[in-house]
Amino acid sequence: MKELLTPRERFGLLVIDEPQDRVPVFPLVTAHAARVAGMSVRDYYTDGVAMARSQLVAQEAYGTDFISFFSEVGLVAEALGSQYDYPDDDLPLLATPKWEGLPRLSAEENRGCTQPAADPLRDGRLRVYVEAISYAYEARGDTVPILAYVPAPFTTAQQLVDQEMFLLGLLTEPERVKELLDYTTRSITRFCRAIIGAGGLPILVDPLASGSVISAEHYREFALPSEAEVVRYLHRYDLDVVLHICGDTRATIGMLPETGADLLSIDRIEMDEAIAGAGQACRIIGNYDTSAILLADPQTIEREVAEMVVAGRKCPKGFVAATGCEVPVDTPSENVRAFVSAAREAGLNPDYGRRRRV
Amino acid sequence: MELIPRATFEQIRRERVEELAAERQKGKSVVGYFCIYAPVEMVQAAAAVPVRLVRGGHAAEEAGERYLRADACSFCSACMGNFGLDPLFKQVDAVLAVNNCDMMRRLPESIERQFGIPVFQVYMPRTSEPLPHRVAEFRRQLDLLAAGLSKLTGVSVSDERLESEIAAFNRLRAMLLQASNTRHANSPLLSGRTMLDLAATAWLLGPVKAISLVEEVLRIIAARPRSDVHRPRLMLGGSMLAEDDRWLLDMVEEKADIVTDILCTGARWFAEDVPAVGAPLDRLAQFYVSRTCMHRRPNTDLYSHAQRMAREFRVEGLVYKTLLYCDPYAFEVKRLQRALGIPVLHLDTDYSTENREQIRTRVEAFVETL
Amino acid sequence: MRGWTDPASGRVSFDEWLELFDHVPDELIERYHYYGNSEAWSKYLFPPQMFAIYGMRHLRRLKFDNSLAALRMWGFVQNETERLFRARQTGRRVIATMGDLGAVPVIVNSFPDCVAFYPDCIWWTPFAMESRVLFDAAAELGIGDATCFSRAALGAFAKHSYFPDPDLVIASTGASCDDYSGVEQLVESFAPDMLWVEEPMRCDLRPSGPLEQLLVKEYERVVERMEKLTGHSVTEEELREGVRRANRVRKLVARLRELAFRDAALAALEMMVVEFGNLHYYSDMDEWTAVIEHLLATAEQRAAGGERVVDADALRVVWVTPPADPLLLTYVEDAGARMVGTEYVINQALEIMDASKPPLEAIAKSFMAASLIGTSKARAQSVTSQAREYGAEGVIISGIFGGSHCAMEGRLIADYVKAELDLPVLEFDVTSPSREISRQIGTRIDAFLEVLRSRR
Repeated sequence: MKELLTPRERFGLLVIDEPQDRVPVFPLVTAHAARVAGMSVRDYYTDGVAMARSQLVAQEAYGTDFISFFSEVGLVAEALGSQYDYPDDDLPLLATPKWEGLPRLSAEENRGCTQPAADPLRDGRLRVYVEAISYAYEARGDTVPILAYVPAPFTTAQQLVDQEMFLLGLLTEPERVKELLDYTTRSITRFCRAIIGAGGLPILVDPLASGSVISAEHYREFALPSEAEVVRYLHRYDLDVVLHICGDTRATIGMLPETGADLLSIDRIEMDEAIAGAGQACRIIGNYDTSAILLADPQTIEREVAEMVVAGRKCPKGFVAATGCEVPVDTPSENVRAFVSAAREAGLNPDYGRRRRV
Repeated sequence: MELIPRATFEQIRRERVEELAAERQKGKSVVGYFCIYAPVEMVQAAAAVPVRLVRGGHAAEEAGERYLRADACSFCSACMGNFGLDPLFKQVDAVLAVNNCDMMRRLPESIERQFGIPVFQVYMPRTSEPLPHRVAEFRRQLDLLAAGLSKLTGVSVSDERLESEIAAFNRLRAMLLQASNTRHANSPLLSGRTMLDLAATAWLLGPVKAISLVEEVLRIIAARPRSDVHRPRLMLGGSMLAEDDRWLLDMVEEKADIVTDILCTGARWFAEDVPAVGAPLDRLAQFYVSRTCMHRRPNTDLYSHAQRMAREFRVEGLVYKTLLYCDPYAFEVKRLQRALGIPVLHLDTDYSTENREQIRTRVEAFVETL
Repeated sequence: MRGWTDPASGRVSFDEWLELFDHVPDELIERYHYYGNSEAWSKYLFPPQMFAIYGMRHLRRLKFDNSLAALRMWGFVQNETERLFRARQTGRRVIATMGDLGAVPVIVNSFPDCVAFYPDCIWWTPFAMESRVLFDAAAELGIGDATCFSRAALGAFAKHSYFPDPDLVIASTGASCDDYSGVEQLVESFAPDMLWVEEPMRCDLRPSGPLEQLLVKEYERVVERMEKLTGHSVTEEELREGVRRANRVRKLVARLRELAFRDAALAALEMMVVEFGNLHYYSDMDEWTAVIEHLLATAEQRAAGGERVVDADALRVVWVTPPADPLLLTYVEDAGARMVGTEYVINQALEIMDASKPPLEAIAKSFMAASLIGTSKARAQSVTSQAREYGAEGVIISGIFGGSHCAMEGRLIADYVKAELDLPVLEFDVTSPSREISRQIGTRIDAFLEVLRSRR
């Protein structure tokens, strides 16, 4: 059925605090798009045009309200020198981080020679992303927002250094961690700039800052400031910033608005808890369980999504019906369709477009 | 069999053109006009002859395209072409133009520039609510027109002459309305095409001769036996339907009856009378400013009129013909469909003849669905 | 401007502006707000990239003046959709004025907490987005292709997402564009309250006094309806102040036109945006005035220093009827021409009102200069007058295929111009939104400019 608004128009209303015709719907279709388009996952994340085409096919097939580009959290780390393996039909896996231990970035031997930020047009697969964004933007940017997940400084840092060493460093060498975060922030903002130039809206993704990995105190001391720095950068362009932290954010939900993010994409937290913690300041995106979308039957998905939407619409700043994290690559298509149709129906706004006055 | 063959109307037209040529030799002025807002009573009161210029035609359209762009409406192009081709147009000494649609408002400037024919441009408010200041301005415009006509003919547009012409044209309108209303009956004897030919001829002849013609038609109708054959009853609407558009009526009336219309070249011209009370120019101002047309804003009056006609004449479908690029009419198709609640056949075409078979197919299919 | 120095004047690409923006200090971004508001949402100094991300794809193809004042202008103008919604959110009444292009907002802005805007200006949105979305929405309501792009306004009303549902629609029609009059008629079903206002037809040879009186009566109805809407009885002094404020903007723009046409101090694209600001000040008269003052200061400085934003030797052209596709202006300037005059169907908005008259009379008298209410000859005279003043070498007339007045006026205006000044005239129709200028139009423009060059 033809809808009144395009996804672009709907999102535009959401971010200026205006009611929409229905709740925007955003199952996080990332590498799953490769399945929809019938290509290998490897082709998806190594070829920008392939990535874009698969997203365009998936968006059209499912009728979702966003196109989003993402492959894995090591994207920027790879550009900075970490080594990854590329399985034929799975996402890249970290093989060797750039540094075994925390680097001494302000050491005498590096003085005056600032570690260069990653070049989005040359280093790693950043160029793949930028090409994909440009392609999709030209193809459908008038009607669908084009989003691009950017690994946050804290998550990226954990892909540059052996993770255990990094987490230990939070306790034993906090200043070095912060220097590393400064370093990653520079590359990330430069990457964001390239995304902006290509027509994409950066989404900051920081899964390794969730409560599943670090404590709330460490989040406040390390992850939050670096997230806030990127958000500040993006706010120079007046962009509406999405911060996605999958995993457990129950302990940190109240702090997330301090990053300045405009929309929070959440995962393992009850909807009402998320709204109570952050819903006055941030729009909430989420948070259907990704195991459920993979394994449950369509009828169950429809029922549960409808319940989720009813709860999520109570968010005063606004709500986007989404999955808590990426739709698993091999999710049955009928499950994604069930999600979308249920979210659309439960999210309808019958009052939209009625003549309104002050 | 037609009450009056087409050939008869054409003969009357030719003879009238010859008459006009002869009258012009004696000093009479012929004033051409296009739309139902032209106060013909004033032209006649100034002892000039008003002739409505609604010929249309493909050859004229093509000839007119050297003056206007390809996306100018066909009627405007045909008017420009007809000033060089059509014998009636060639008799015109001056043009009386009342602003209605944008293209017709600008046509006079092209006429003056290309053919040197003087134009009386009259401004009439487009907004339809007859507020006193709007009617007053139109009334002032009529004063200016009166002065201009008097200067053209040397005859003053006096109240006495106006009263006489108002009465004459009212009588003609009443007669035409009477003829048109014979189509209330099942299986009407008067076809839509004859009715439009009759109206066109009436404007050309002027009230005195036209009334006789209409009376004759009414006598023929009264004398003819009725038929019980029911055919679909249709209303005709849309942009200005020119004389050269009769092919469409012929096509439609092979299988259906056009029992009424909402055309400015048809029933809308004679739908009402000039009021009887008040000073003549005041009455004319009130009358003309209140006439309906799709370009008026808002155009709800035309919608009310269309709904009333559809009810009164038990209309089963609407054939709505718009000219290419005639936006005031083309924009309203969907809204009209909703307002009338009857099937609508929308034909959007220029004066070219190449697509007539396609149109025939569509007309036949439409009639069959009714 | 502390923390910022304009580079040597010129036009920059979309990507180049991103690099320039890196050097804009935070303090400047924090400084400029609309509606006198201090919240983050009311900032507007943002680069074209921001608006491109939100769908304005065509910005990527354009070239921009590289001054801070121009960036500020672009940010302010592009922000208007959000601004209108924020107007409603902050308790202002939003009034859609349609058709008359410049007069009625002077009255609306005289009322407290009221914002006027022209849905007419939405005609640029499909081009800015390179999108048919609004045209498709208009088609569903009955207006198809081969009509003026202003039908996008109808699509916008249907969507309720390009501006808030207005509290009042004031639709002016009469001696005006049919296409837009048709749009206004169909908009009526979306308007909670609609007032129709007459635009009289002006005959060249007759005095316009009585028509001005008619307009005064029409404007009294506007005042009455606004008073009913707002509960505020507007005083004559408030209306005079409205005229003064509007005149201030008009005078600033008149000077900007002079500097642009005579001294090439501003480019054609920015000047088109500036001129259209005279219609409704992009929904914040005070801030728009400040934007214009900033632009003027930049232009004055350039003119005083002999700095030009386009080549001094560029071919001098007058442009008739605003191009719906702004890329055409970029294209023509890239091809070596510059604008020395414009007739953008908004003459009435450029006219300085006679402040010695009672305010409604002043507005009415200025409206008599309206581009579309008179003859094509009168419009052509505006063109020839500017062409003479600034030494134009040619005239470009852009139209829309199927647009009502374009079909009739283009040829007439071209004939008058050729007869008066013996200048070459190029007439063409702007095609549907796309990424680039059609090859056919590009070739015709190139050939036209070659003709102008050969005449030097």
